[in-house]
Amino acid sequence: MNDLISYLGRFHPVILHLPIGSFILTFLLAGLNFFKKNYSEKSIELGLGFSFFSAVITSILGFILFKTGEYQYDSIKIHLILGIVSTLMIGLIWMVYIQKKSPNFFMVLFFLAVVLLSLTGHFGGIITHGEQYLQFPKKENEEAFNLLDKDSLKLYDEVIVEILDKKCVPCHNSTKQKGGLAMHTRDAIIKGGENGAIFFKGDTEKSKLTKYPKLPTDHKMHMPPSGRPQLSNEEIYLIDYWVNNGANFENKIVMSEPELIKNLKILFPQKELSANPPKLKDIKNLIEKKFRLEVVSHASNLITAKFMGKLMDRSSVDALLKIKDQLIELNVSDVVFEKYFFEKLSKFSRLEKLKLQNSAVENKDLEFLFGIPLKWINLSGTKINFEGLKLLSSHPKLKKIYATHIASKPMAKDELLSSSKIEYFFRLDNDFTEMQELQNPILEVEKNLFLDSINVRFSTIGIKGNKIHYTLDGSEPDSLSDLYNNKITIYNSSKLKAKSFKNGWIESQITQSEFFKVKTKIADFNFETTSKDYFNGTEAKGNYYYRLFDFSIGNENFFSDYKRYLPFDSKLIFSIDIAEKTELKEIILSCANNIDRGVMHPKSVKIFAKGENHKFELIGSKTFPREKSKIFKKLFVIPINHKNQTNLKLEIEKYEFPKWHPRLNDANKTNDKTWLFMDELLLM
Amino acid sequence: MDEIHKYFSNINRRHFLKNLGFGIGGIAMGSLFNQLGSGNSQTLHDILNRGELKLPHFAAKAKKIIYLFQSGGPSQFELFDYKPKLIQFKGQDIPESVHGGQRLTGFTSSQKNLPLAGSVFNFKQYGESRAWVSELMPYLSKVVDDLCFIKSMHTEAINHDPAITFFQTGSQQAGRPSFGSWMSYGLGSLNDNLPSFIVLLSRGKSNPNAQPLYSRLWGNGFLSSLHQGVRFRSGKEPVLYLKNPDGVSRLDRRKMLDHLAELNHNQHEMFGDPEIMNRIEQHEMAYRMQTSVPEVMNISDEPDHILKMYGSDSLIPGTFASNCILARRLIEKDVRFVQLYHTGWDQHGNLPKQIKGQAKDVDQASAALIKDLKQRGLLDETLVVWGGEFGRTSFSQGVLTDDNYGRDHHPRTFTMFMAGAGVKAGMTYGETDDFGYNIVKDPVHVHDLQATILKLFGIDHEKMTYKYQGRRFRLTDVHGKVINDILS
Repeated sequence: MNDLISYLGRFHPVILHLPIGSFILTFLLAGLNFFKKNYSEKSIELGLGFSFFSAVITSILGFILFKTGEYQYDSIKIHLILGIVSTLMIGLIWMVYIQKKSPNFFMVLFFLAVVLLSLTGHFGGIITHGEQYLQFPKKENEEAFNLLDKDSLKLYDEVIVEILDKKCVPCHNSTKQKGGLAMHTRDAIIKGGENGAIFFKGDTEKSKLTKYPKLPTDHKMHMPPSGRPQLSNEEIYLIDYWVNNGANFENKIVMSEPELIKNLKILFPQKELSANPPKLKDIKNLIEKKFRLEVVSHASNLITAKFMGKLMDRSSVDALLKIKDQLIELNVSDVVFEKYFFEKLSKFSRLEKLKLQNSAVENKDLEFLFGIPLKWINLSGTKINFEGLKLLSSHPKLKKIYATHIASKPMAKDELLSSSKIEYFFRLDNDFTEMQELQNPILEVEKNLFLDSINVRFSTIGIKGNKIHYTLDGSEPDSLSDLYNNKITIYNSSKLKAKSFKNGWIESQITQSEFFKVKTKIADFNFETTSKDYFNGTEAKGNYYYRLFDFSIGNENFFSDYKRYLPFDSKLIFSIDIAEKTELKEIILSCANNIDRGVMHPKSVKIFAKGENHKFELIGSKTFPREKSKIFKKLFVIPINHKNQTNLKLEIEKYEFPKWHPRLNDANKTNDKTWLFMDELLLM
Repeated sequence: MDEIHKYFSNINRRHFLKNLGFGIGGIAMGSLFNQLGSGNSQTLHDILNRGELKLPHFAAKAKKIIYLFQSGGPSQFELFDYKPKLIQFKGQDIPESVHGGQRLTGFTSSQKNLPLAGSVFNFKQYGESRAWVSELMPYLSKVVDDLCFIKSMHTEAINHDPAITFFQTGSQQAGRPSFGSWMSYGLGSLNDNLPSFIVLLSRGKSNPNAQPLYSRLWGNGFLSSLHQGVRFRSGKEPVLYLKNPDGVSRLDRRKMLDHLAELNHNQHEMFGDPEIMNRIEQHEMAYRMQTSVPEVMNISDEPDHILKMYGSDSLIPGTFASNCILARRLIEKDVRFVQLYHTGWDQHGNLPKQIKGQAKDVDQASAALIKDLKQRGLLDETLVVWGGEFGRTSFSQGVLTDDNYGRDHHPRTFTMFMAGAGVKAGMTYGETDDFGYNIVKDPVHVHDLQATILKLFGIDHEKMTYKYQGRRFRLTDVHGKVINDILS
């Protein structure tokens, strides 16, 4: 046939609107005229004539279109016959109207013709738009959401079909077969078009199915043709993927490739699951029954629940059943419940996550889990054992099982893993950490000096079965040394050393402290020189001097223990009254030293006692050579020749800076004074 | 609309009865009024979801979060961001083309040379994900397949306080609500007996004199004071003033609170200030915390192998490790937001020695926390975030020697990691250039991270707003885009 004529055939879908429009308008006018007689009969005559004329042209064009061979006779048969009949009918009505025979008969005919014309249009529409066109939109398939939750999917059925239906089938179907190609069934796709197969397994270069969409859009073979909805990059990727993987219609593929998953995700965005809203009455009842509920999101009515009580009785389970269509997650860990709960469990048709840890669940209860779409379950701390897990491993939906009360035995674990795709969480292996060292015991003592005896305690810190062994003679404690139990009572001056021990742990470092039994307390004291603040040089206000007699010894780092020390930047002279009449052997000064900070130990000490003649007499003196080490804490012992005198006087001189010390070379000379830091005086 | 609702529900039944003194008719009217106010329009979400905004907007992947904030700005170059070029070009000045005249802090702006400094610590790849981790993090390197590293973090602030404030509140200036407060406001609490936002602090042992942290970092800003973070201390009294004074029994306390609540109710009816109701609620919470806090803070019931896993530090209260165990315990008790701060990551000088100590403080416990959450099934619903407020420079601050150097603040690049609910495991996102100085791929701004974390909690960060002083505020201000590529 002539190209021009066949080209004209394409105007059929446009021209066909003329007869339909004009005929219906004329029908309207004729109807009004039938009742009111106020419209010009001439216009009705003209309308009918025009309708007939345009109907004839439409029919001819339609026939030409059919003859081009794009459409099968079978599929357009009804439309073709109806079209011709309608055209003739319009002509008949036109004739009848001109003769003005019977208005009633005319109106009946007219009505019939409108029905015929509508039918023609409908069947014509099916040819171009497909049979599904007028179907009410279907609800979104829930499977589409689950697509990405699957481990594997039938790529053709679940993905490729969706793409082809949307983008190819509108022009390649049972009724319309551009290029002789139909793509609405598997067979049709396999059969290919007039130029042969459209795909070759594993060859995306050769396959037209994958090649044509990638051609430039202005290329004449580009598919879908320009103006039609195009394939997206993801769709192209997925069709390529299908062809590359053998273009199989049946096989399932494993969802493992990230690129595949990524493209699927974009193409099938996850829609939120939703459910019908529950009754508020039921919800309020559940809250009263100690369930803590939460709605998953604004867009859904799915609910997560946690039972907050200790005992979940039958009525609570019944209350929960009221939201069985909404409940997606349930936490009944540490809860006591009856078997009844498990018997009803299969009713929860949406339940995906179940927390059962530390509950009374047993192996035989697990069968009740099979009816529900459970993906996640925590069974830690229950009686469930390997047998139970084996049973559960055939659950169709389960993905994660927590059972951390079970130590993972390699053998049994393999058995489980090979039989299912479930991820198991057992008790952690011990190989994560090496042996850890215990913390040393922490001493809880205020004082290091005592008169008769002193109780020493260790603060208990959070590890069970931690044993503390100690010695009082200065030797290193081991696991055979005395065991600490609640307290240690010390009666004599001693050096306490203690360590923590525990099986499976490395023993701790040593904690040590020295305790001194002194002869007597001090009743009163009087300082002739004043203590000053180390940091700003101001005179100590208030009664800080007791620090020397408070029975507690500071540690080496006097900055962190500043409150235990009494600092002096001059010679120290003071007198004391002893509480009891007793004979002392020696006097001990406890002092810190830190040469960089300007804190120096005593150089010489003189001790006087007031005898019966009320005069102070020298009863002991000692000079200490300067220590080499820079930072230390030391006891300086001065033996005395004491005869029960109660009133003593001490004169202590400290060391000045050695010549090399940077502070001496300081131009301002503001900081060239040394300090004596003393924290305790011991009367032994 | 909300404000009208609040107004109407404030005029409640009791108010109505008292003020009008109606009899039975009054009761009827009162209940009618109440229904008009809120009763009829009540939806499922109104009843069940506890946040002021009744969120989430969409289904959440994460329900809880543990944010392990590494305060001070940990050096990415010694921990996670492996840069062999810095070792190769050690001592050479950083090229002008790389640092591009970026502003420096006062510490280094007067420095004549900016010599590149490579890490003195060795790096290796670990796990199936082949993630680079330095030898300072031997335990974290065992769990890399659970982590999602973001190597392309960047921020706007260059000094500690504004940078931390920016991370925690979305603004460099103090005064906005903190992250945890926003969450509490939007989503509400998951439990009744503990605050929904709890803060635990620890100090780096190698750098105990680090910058202090301010309690406003967990403040509620302009949000209701119910949403402020509560700091739990180590030691005998985790929450100050929680204990009953000597001689006061729990029953006495109950009676006292009841009377006090009555007085507060009267006051509220007179003035209608919502903070009065908040105060009542806080008193009640404190009362419940008298029993819930000692229970959760007592780690003596932790089994041996758990303590061992977190390391022996976990036995000393107030350490990072012990706080990590507490964090897990709080998460088990359905606390929404647990924020840990570990200070001392500010290595301007003496970096190799100090960072070694810092890493030792946190490495084992951080890894153990992730493992522990995972084995308990908690990692499926809990997000763990680990990172500081900014990174450190690839050049040395101060003199560079073979075994000693320092690094200055660097807001342009740093590394963080996340793990758990909704985040891709075993992933590294973003890239920095060979000098680690600029981002070359997939930058993640602080606001982006905030938006992403909110997304994991089912929150649209653009919709979670609070109207204050005439405009709506957001955690992400007017910025932030969700990094979808790291979401699973």
